Amino acid sequence: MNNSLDRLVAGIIATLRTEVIAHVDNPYARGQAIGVVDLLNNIGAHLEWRHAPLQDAIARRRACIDTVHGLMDLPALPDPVPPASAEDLLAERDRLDSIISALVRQVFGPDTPGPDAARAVLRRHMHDDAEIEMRQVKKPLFAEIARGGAEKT
Amino acid sequence: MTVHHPPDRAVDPYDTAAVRTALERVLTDRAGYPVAVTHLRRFTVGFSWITYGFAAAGRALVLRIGPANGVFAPYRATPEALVLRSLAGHGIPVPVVHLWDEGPGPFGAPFLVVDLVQGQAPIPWTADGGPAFAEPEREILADQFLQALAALHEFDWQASEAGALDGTRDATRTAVAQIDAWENRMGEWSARRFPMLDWAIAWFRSTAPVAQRISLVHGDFRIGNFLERDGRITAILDWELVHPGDPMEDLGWICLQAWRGRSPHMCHLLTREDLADRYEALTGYHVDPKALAWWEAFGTFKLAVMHLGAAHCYEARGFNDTRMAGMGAQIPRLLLQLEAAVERAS
Repeated sequence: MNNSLDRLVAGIIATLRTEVIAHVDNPYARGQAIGVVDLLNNIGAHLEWRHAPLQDAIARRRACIDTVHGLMDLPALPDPVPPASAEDLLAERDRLDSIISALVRQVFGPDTPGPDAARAVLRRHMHDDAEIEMRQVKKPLFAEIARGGAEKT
Repeated sequence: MTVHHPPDRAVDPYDTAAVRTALERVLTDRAGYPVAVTHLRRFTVGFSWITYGFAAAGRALVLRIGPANGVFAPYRATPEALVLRSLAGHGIPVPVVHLWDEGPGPFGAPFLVVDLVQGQAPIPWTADGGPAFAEPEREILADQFLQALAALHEFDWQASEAGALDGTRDATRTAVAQIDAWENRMGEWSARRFPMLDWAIAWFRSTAPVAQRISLVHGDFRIGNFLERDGRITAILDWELVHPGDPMEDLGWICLQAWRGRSPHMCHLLTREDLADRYEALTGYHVDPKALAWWEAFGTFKLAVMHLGAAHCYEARGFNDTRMAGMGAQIPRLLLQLEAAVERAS
């Protein structure tokens, strides 16, 4: 996901209140929809993104950076500080992505292209990372959203 | 014609009742006599401008408001209005534009009022990933789709009001100008860096093509942005990204995987070879397969950046359309499509 959990929960509640509940005519269905808002209000404070996939993402990035730094005689990354929360993990993932982006710009840039081996490691990392992330992505429901309801089959 | 109102009269563009009142005021000011608005309803189509249909003075009309927190904010109404006025009667079906304003004005945002054109907007996403059009409807629509595109690219825009549009006229700089513009938007919309996007940018900069000519470029010419009725394209819509540029940009955009899924037909309409051959026959300009592949790859990058914009307007600008967050969730898919498109173009 590219949005924060807090914002997603707040957005779902706002959408239910302003776009959905106001247009539900059946009182029971409307009550149930308000019940969903009530649940979201209560569980929102207890949610955070799962740590394991973020820790894996960080490990992949560190491995890539360590390898490329080794190939280019750059200093190794300092040992990681154990993150305490999902927010820390996200910040660390994004920090490492910035380092990889800088390496990509350097080794694929026109002025001082990097060694082929470093380019290959970076290409492999970018591909594998997108593939792994893609396994968590469900097929979008844009067709149903556009038509305002489930597809008839 | 533009209209001007002080910003302190602005209303919430999502509040239908308030929009009705403001719209009646605008139309009354414009007409010089009281104008009532009826049948006002918000359309669900479109990811960007807020669109209402309504009736006034015996006409079926559309109000489009560019929300301050929308994906492409800050919006401008004038480029689209000038282009719509310029293109009327030149072989490209476009709605008649009646008035526009750069805002903030009565809606707190730029807006346009145009004629309502009858038709449905076919969409690229189908239930089973199959074709969006039956035969021979596909062939008939493909012809009109390409004729409209060719007419746009052949249009003598510099001799029209559209000649006032911003953007480079330098054929050697137009691709670089697009890279700059979308890289800037990427930085604006995402603090997080995506190495795949930076890799693509490096490749785009080292391989940017020189345009054969500069024409008007729609910028989002595809299935989903035209109306169809009884096998006839009744309007080409969504001109917010229009600019002077390399016409290959529109052709490459048509080829994006996102608009065809598993279909062999670009935008569910025609094969890549047909697209090139028929465009050449209509315009007399050669479609260089390398340039086409470059612009397809660049278009995929642009679409990925648009997804970042969607996530950003949901996260940081209070734009509460769940489709925006849904687009943000699809970024890994776009990164893989981008990688494949760049590899094909290399």
